[in-house]
Amino acid sequence: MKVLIVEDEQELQKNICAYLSGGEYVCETAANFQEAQDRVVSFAYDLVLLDLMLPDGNGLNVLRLVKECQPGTGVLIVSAKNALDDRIVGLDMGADDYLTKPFHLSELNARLKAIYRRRKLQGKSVIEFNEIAINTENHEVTIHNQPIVLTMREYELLLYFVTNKNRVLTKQVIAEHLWGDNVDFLDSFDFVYQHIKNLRKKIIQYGASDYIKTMYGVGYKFSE
Amino acid sequence: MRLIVKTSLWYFLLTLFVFGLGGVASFYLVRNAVQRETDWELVRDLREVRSLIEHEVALEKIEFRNIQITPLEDVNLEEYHLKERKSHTVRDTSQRGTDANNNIEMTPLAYVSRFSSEAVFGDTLIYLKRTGKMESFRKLAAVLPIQDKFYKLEIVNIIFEQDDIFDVVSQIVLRLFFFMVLALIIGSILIAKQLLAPFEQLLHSIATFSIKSEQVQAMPNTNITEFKRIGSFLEKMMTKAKKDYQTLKEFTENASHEMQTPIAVAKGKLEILQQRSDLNEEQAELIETSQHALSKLSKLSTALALLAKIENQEFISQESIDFSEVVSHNVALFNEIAELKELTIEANIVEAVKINMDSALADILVANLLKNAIQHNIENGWIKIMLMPHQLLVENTGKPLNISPEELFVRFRKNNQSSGSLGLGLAIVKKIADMNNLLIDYQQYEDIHRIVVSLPN
Repeated sequence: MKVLIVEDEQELQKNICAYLSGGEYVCETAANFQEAQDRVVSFAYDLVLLDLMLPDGNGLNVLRLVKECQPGTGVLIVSAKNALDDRIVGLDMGADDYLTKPFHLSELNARLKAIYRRRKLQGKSVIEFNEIAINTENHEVTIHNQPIVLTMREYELLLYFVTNKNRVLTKQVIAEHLWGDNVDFLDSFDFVYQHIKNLRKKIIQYGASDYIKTMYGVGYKFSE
Repeated sequence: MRLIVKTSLWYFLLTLFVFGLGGVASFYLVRNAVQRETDWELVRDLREVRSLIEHEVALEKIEFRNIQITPLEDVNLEEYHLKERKSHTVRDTSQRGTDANNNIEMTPLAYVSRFSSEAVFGDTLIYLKRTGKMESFRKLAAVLPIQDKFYKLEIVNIIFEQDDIFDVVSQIVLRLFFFMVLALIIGSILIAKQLLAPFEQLLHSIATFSIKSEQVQAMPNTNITEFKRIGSFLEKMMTKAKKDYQTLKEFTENASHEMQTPIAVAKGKLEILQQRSDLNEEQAELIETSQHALSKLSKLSTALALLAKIENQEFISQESIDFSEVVSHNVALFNEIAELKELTIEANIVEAVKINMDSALADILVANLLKNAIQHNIENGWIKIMLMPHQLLVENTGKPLNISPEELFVRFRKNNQSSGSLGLGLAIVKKIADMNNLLIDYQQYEDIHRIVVSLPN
């Protein structure tokens, strides 16, 4: 997956690249409208990560350019402005998704992959992890080719784990992925444990290994 | 009371005073003038009578109803002259006062200078057959030596009565006053229309002033210095207010947004750090705590920006929204989270309750109320939501309050100051309620907390 990161804040660029480059991503960066324009015109990308506030121009112009030059490219907008400000504008103009700063890198990863699946892998929307296969189109999960019944939240949790495999996910990150902004007011995210326990029980029951590792004091990690 | 009415009232009172005073003065002036004229006439008559006697006209012919002539036979001319000279020294010519005792007036001798004798004015009452009652008369009595003979002359003239003078003067004054008041009323109507028109325009400009609109308020085109000054002053003030508002608005937005990027950087760094496999539990906890603090900082900034935006009245769309739907939607949204916290939610929502307010604000209002009820609940507690046509009621179990319920609506005021909540949720609720004229009330009965939002209509 080739990703163009359009973000004027150097450190944020570095964070995103550092987090994403571990896996299947190839990252390129642009710090302003000029650079972004050059790159969008010259190279093909699978995904564009776009900060709307650029020093030399509105990020929406980059979005317009991407839609013009590379209609098949997925665009994820990152902005400090929230829903009450201008979320709708970017989505109306063809952006695939929207993420408000500050965001979790794991959430960014999950969103990018979701866009990628929708945009680029129309036919092949099954994610496999050893004996586990997740069909993101009809939300079916199989273990050893046997369908397994999961609740909606368990499915989302499993998908999130697999998307962020080998990465540590804190309870807060998981909670905010599953329930969005509606849990941001809670002090404790211990209730996540219950969902993880159920999911773990189910996948073990169907003969998969216990991939969900508890990292004491940090969170959970989905790995071999 | 309108300015013009008040001014007119003052002018009316002033006019009343001036006309009252003028009336009294006129009365005395007229009375004195009439009296002086009556006296003059008597003196003229006296001269004429004297000249007639000198020309030896028969006394019978001269005598009229008001003139009485008595020849005095036994008066010695020499004696008289002597007496007269004495009296001259006694009476000063400038004195013409009224003798209080016998009501006799001495006329200045200058009046009768051609007479060698004194002339005496007095008032007398005479019965008039014509009117059938006693009338006051002015009388001039004099003893005159004419051709070696003394005559006593008495001339009377009817006095113009004080009552009549009073009547005439008051009639005149009343009429003048009436016309004056009429002029005053017409004048104030004209003034209100013409002179105060720029003032009305200024008031209109102030009333229609909106800090958010780009449009500059039109100031009246007038040549009245005071209104011109108010106009230019208002114009300056309004421009300044608009500029300040814009600056403040931009500042709050920018401050909130600009803060999010460095927070995102820090959070990202910590998240990358969390991926390291060689972390021990203590290090992991340090990172986690920092993450929490950063999340809180970010939320704080967002919430404060939201409060500022509500205060700046940036949510002005007043659409009729289905409040029942907003409440149902939020109940569904928070139902799962309440279950996660092992709380039971019971909702009783009347259909199709309409309310006029910004839909985003309505959503925030309900969501914050529910968040509050979830966050400050107890283990195995419950939440009851009731939406009736006239009020929204959110009831939940919770710990007793340590502070007064009103204080919960104040920013950063929390029942437990060390708790993880921001202390802004209810402040936002209160602000939204205030902006939309909704009454909000917090009640607490032991471990049950209830917030009632009264809806208009």
